[in-house]
Amino acid sequence: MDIAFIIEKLILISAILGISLVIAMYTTLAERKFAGFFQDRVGPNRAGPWGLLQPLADGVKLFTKEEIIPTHASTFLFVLGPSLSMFTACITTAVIPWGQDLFLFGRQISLQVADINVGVLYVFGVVSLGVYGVMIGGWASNNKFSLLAAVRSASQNISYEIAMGLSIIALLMMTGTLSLREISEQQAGMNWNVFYQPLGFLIFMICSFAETNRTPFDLPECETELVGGHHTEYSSMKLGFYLFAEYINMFVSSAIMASLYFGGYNYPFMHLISNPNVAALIGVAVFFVKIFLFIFFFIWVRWTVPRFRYDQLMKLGWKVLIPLAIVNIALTGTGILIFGK
Amino acid sequence: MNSLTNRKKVLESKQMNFWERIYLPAIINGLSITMKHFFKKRTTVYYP
Repeated sequence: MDIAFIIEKLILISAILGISLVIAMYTTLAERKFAGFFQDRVGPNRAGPWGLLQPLADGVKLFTKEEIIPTHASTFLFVLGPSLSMFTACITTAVIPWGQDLFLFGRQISLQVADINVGVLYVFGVVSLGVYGVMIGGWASNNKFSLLAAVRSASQNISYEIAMGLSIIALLMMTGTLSLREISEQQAGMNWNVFYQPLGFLIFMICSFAETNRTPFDLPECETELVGGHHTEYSSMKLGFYLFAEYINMFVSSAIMASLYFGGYNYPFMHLISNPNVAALIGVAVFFVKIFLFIFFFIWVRWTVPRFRYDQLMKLGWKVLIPLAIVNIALTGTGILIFGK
Repeated sequence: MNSLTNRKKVLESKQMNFWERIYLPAIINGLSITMKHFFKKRTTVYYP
């Protein structure tokens, strides 16, 4: 473990963290601008040209607000809730393969912070941990409505985790490996997994809408239900952490969907490019284009589809998606038996 | 009375067929309507 390796990983980690925070920041702006465009109006355009400095203004606003901690609220847990949400949102970015290996300075630099061979399992473990952030925040607020909303949100989260895991099992039957880098490498060219697993992709996408608490599954945090949900009592930067963690989750979910089903950093005719560094950099750019398209899809669906009622949401998760995912596994199994994929 | 616009649909109360029950075609239809609005001219008035 030489110094160069440590420096290379440190640079990669800070770059990925920085990029994901900046992208989450500008996703908040994109959400408001696109919400405006979908509603025949212009979004925020006062803070800078096209409102580009609006996220900075929002950040400053959140920093300078008063920090309120309710009486009889457990202070340690109150601060722990949003920190846990932010923490689990950020560490998922460690296993995503951002591109092929670069060859710089005589070394082979891999564009993935940690190439563990249980990448997909790690992602699901961290997503399960994310439930704690919501539950702790709702409990520590010393507020009955926060608690109810946190319970609702946690039950929604764990219900859709199951269908998500089951839809991934069908994918793993095809790829035979849990490591995200190998799944990306198997999709070279246009050999993307979505063509072999369309039903699995649909189930995974619906579940990731539910996991990130995005409409149509945003019952826990819309304003007309139980006030603000689990973050009613939060102000200033702790609220900022909750809201920001949602956008980082959106970014990470898009990245995972892109690398599992849409070929990650692969693009058609990639074997025609002779210089491996150029091919890797174009792959990174293509990956980010796919992520932005998914984020646009998240925003698009939010301003189109009405919200689910809580019992409709539970019914969908348990009685529709889980049987569908199991049927998908059975179909994939017979397909592998017949075609030997 | 005469209808004001010619967009009314008489409500029929029969069971939803398979395509209507999965709601996905309805969602895709809604997505296309929203997309049309994305490209239309915005009606915001810019006060000086």
